[in-house]
Amino acid sequence: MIIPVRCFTCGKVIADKWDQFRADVAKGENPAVVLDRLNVKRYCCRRIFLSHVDLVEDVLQFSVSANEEGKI
Amino acid sequence: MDVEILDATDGQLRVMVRGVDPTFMNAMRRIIMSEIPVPSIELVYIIENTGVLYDEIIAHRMGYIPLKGGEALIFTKDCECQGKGCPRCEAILTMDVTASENSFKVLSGRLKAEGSVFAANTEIPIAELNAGQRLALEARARLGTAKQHAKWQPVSIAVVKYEPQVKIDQKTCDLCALCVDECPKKILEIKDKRLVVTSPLVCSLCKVCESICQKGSIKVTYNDSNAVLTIESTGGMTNEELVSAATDVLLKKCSSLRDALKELPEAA
Ligand code: SF4
Ligand code: SF4
Ligand SMILES: [Zn+2]
Ligand SMILES: [Zn+2]
Repeated sequence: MIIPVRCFTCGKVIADKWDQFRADVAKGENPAVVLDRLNVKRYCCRRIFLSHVDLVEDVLQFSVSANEEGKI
Repeated sequence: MDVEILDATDGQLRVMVRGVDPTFMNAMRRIIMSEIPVPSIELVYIIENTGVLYDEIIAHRMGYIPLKGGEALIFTKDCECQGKGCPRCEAILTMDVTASENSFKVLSGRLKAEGSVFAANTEIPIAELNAGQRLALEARARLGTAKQHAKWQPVSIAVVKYEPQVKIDQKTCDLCALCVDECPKKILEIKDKRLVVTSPLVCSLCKVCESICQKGSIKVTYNDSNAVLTIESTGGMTNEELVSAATDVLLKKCSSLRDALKELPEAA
């Protein structure tokens, strides 16, 4: 759904690095290089980045947005 | 006991402790891992949540945000309030965010500290909202230890490794370099017609070199009275603070054992 706050296995805080990771990978960079740069070294943390599907973006499409007056 | 700081980079602290019992180092490691009291969000009162994430998901995510401060807090179970929660054992954080645009990320930096505790990392996304959706809540942080729940774990790694000893018999080694190529850590090298270990502490004790050598000239052992402790804080406390907090916990355990012995009836 949304990137886990911490790595399931070791407990490192990873959620703060997700946006940077996604932006850099979208630019065509190698995920391994991006993760090294973000100082995500252990494979327990790396697999969360590599396998995460950010479904919250899709779910948000179905939720109510504000109308012109900014009210729901 | 002789302590040497090997390095403190990338949020990690590595200390070499020489002349120490393995059980002592393991006690330190286990205390750092699971018995240091730190604050973490324990109760979340949702005032309004019109976003797509359930209240429970948001509360669960908030528990994992590392918190700073709260040095004066005491455990709720030891407090005069008898577990109800009061300013002595609880710190309040509040948040009220209304999204101004679609796909708006609510970051942990939006948590407002009403007490002594605040978010150590301000970049953690708590939820994502569409324009006009609101997330308003009040959270209460309490002290706890990782023995109760992993959200109170102050480190992501706490590891003890014994000092590796790579012994090379230069007389029988014929410099075939098989071990040099096979070592996964790439720490073996042939220099001036001698096989040398460039950084012995990096050795993972895998013994690949030992099994590949046909002459039996390389032997890998470890010295368990010299240990390297590696810790990586999640951000609430610095690595140095964690080590000293761990010694406090250990001292407290020892003194409660001593106090218990004082109450023994006089031996006949
Ligand atoms: S034990 Fe493993 S890491 Fe250590 S020197 Fe031998 S091959 Fe390299
Ligand atoms: S494999 Fe054995 S003989 Fe060959 S270089 Fe290594 S230690 Fe020497
Ligand atoms: Zn991890
Ligand atoms: Zn209280």
